[in-house]
Amino acid sequence: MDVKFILDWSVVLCFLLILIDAAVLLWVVLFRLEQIENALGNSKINMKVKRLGTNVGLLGRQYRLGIAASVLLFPNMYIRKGLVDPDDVKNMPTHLKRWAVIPNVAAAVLLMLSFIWALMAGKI
Amino acid sequence: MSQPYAFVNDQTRHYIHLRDRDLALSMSARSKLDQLNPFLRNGMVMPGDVVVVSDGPTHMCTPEETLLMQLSLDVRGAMIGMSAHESSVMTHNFDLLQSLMSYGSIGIGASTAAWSRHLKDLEDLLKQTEALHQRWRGGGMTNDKFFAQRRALFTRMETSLKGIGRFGSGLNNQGKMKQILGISSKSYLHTGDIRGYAGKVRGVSKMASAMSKGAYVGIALDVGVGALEIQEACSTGREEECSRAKYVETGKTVGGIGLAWAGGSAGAGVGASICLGLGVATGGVAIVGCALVGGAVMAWGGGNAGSMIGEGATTLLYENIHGR
Repeated sequence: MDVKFILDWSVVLCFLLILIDAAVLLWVVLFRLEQIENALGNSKINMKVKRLGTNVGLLGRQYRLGIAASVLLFPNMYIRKGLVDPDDVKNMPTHLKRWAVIPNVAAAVLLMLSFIWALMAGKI
Repeated sequence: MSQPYAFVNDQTRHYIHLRDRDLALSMSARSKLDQLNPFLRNGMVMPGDVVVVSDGPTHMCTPEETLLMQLSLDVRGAMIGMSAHESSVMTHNFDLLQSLMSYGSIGIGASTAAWSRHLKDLEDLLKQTEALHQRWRGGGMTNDKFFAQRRALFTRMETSLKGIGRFGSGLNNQGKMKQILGISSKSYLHTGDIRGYAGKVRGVSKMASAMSKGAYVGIALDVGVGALEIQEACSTGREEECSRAKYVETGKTVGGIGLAWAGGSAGAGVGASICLGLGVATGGVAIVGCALVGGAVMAWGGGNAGSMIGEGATTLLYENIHGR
């Protein structure tokens, strides 16, 4: 099994992961977003994002999920600015937190891997 | 008789107070102001509202005055449904919102005026392509001629698609909003600058809804281009090329849309985190804007990278399934 073989098939794997990740994100955005936002409570950032991101279709919901994931990933930053309530973040159910964070982090990682691959393959 | 002028109100105040104290108009000019601003009369003047001022006689309105009144009505209409706080935020952050709008249009393709003009151009080109197809189907021309002509059309289409990015960034320099917003209520502006304001207010207040629709246009274009490529390969090339194109173009389209979608979500979070981490934003409009920009950039990058990955992966799959 040589290096080229592994590299080649890692691209296929990456492609499949992208499709799975996109599907998972779609599912989370459609069916888990409200639960995640309810768990975040009436925090300042949540209200603001909700006001802007409601009634603008799927992209608005995607945008709301992105911010919620950022809040859950870096809670200290948001707490310091008084944008979220520390208790809300602490009491967040673990399964909801996973639904919000994992697909988004996976998307960022996959995007980075794609760029590295494109650089290595000389496509950029 | 002097020219009529208009200015953008920057804080909430009562109309009577504005007329009698802030502008300190003479008695005859007061009735003229009432005449020119019928929908502001006897109420609060909100931030962002355009106030028209003239010292002409009340028995007639000049064409300039009528035009300014119409513009001011347009602005007023575009702001229906906005709370006082929102319109105040909008007036004071007009520059930021406007630049967001143009940055967003690169990645998401928000429907600005430039974008819709481009779509019209594109539509034209597509119609020409369709006509070309019909002539070819009807046996009016040979294959070689047909493909040469279509390639020419496609090249033009490509260049006009490239133009969107340019227009998106060019929007920034056109507005003179800084001047408009920098002024106090007592300094007046000339007609020319206000004219852009009416259109831009409509644009800014529609930013969110335009954002969501632009994406669908992009997806439709992506799918359409992929389908066209497959069609071309299948009608010109051998069977091998046809089935190869089916794999590769599908992979490109699916990968591009998939990673653009996933990247947009992650990008919103990344943008917000970066701004907060660097201390650029302390909440409010700025952080929301950071998230939008981050989402747009990562969706754009994701679309490109995803189509590359899709191309690479499906080429490999094709070669392994069908043999070289």
